[in-house]
Amino acid sequence: MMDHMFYLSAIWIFLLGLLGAIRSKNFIHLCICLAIIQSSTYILFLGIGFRVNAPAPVFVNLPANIKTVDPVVQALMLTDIVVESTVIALLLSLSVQIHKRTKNLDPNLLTIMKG
Amino acid sequence: MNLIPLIIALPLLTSSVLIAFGSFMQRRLIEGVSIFINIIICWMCFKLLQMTAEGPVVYWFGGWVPHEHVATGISFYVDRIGAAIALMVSILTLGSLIFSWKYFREIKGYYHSMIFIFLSSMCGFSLSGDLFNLFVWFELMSATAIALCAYKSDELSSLHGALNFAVINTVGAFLSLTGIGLIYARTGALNMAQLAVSLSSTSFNFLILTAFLFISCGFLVKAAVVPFHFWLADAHAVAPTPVSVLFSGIMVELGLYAVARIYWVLFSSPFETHQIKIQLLFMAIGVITSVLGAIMCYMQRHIKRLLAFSTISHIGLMVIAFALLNHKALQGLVLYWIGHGFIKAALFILVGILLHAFESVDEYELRGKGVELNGISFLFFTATFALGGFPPFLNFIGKSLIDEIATALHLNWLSWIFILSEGLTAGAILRVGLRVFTRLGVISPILQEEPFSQNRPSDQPVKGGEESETRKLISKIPKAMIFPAILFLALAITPHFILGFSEQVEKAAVEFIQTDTYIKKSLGEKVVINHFHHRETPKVHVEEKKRLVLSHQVVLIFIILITGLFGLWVVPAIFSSKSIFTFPIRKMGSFLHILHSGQIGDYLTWFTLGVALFGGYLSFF
Repeated sequence: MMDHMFYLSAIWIFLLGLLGAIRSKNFIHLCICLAIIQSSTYILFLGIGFRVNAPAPVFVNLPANIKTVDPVVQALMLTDIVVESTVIALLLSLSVQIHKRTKNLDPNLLTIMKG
Repeated sequence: MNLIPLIIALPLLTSSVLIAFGSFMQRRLIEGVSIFINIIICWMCFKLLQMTAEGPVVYWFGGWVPHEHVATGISFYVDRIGAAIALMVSILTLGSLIFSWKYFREIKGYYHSMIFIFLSSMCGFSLSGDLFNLFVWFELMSATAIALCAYKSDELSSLHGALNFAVINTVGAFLSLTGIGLIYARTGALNMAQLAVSLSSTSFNFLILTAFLFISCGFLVKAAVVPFHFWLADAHAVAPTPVSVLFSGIMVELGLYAVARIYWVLFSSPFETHQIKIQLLFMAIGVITSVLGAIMCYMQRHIKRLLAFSTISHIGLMVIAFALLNHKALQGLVLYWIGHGFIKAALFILVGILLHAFESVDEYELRGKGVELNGISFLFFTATFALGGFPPFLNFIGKSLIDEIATALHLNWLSWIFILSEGLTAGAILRVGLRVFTRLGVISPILQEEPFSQNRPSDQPVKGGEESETRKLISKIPKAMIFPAILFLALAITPHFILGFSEQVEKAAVEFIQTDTYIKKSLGEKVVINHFHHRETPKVHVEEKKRLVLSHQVVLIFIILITGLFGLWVVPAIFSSKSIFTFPIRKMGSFLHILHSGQIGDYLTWFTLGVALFGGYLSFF
């Protein structure tokens, strides 16, 4: 069970973020729930790359053939942070614009797109 | 060989120059530079397509070529289909930029730079050979699409539509990323050729199934198939017309392209034993999407939303073609894709011309206003029948190939699904055309009290007096707006008449399916691969095919005309009557409208339900 803690917590956080996004009554809360879902993918990837008792992948004083923690997933996650921060910034700016026009942030009160 | 990174780098460079100096440039200069650079990109994509005639081209970024047949870098794998998609993207962007020249009253440099980033990311998406790189281009494409969709940020409905689009696509992308993580955990590779080598020696197990499910559900959200389709109608209704052209013409179909690429390169070998299950799943998804899209299309009053639902319906047909998992069906799919993309783009441009001239996209408000626009109405009716699948157009040829395979596999009812959805969607557009360009039809709302009034193009002044717009109007429609529509309709016919086109498409389809070509080109000839098969085409008699096609065509014309004409008089009568006999139709109509509620929570709930259902079906049956 403890071996699989990474994966279980990633699943739990994904579902929690999704539930929060579904039941959200505030656009800012919705964007933060998306950031929570994003965190679950970070936990998953970093858990995949982790090795017990392995050093960080900085090869200054280490021999070249030692097994370190996987650097590829760390690079993937840094890329992903940059990409997703753009998207969340866009969403937040759209929320600010909606607040400017309607003075409230409730997604359920926007009923323009019916049908 | 250096052409490939240049296709990605040049639009990004142009967009940075336009952002930096856009405020000092005159509008003419910005437009001129954009169109000029876009023509250069079209030419480069065409050269790329010519380069792939001898076989796929692989480019390793930064010179990180494979070391002892193991991939160590990021590659772009350019085969015929990838290069053709990049060419189609650049032609559609060119038409959209020419249209936006006269469409926007006032514009700064950042619209054009976003269009160039959008162009670059779509080209990168179609050419990429690395799974995470595919994801990054996907996210970049989504981010610029959100920004372009919300371009008219002074209107509340634009913001709402863009938010719906953004949230559901972002959640889908995160699901896709989870799937990529699972695949990386199993194989340790991200390059698609390397993954194919690793996965070919793995047998079917639950982890690979879950990874496939997650990755394809993320891309199917972009492709707008049924439980995930709600965002598309909202996004199309509020995006400016040149942007809707790009959305419907190519962006949505790229989701299906990603699923097809991932299935054939990575998963066709481990899923060999369970292929029938996957085919059944995609077939069911495709059928439900096309039928539901067609019904919802018919019930719309906002013309752009109507066209968006018709895109959903046609994507459903393309998913059915993919589910047949056959190289001839794939050939038909490619032709259908090209035909549908260009015709839908032309239809959006024509609707944009109507919006520019009359400041409305409401079917009832526009009733009878286009009576004097003879040229536009001719183009509109041509596009309507083209969308329904008529002989010289490419989507007819694609559809007949798909029908041929369906009949050979004893799935004759698929032809009827095609006829039903194409008939309903083309009938709905015919109804709109008849209402706008002639004065036929009764006005009475089909269950929608009033569409949201998101009608004015940006910065257009409100029309004051009622001058008789008719005679002056024709000279008022700029040539720059009509030219892209004619270009796109012409491009939906002419490729068929280019010498050697059909053979190239057939070779392209065969190449797409063969995974070992993919691996050998990327990693070198001496790679060790374990077991690959590819399906053979069942043979079909030629005479039988011609007879089938003719009778189906007649039924299709009949359905289009009947649904178009019915929509003018009979359907409004049904929906405004109170009798017990029309009760089921009215109830079903209102139920479908309530389902598409516009609330993000509902969309996400359907998303979760859809993923759970697909996963449950694949795991337990």
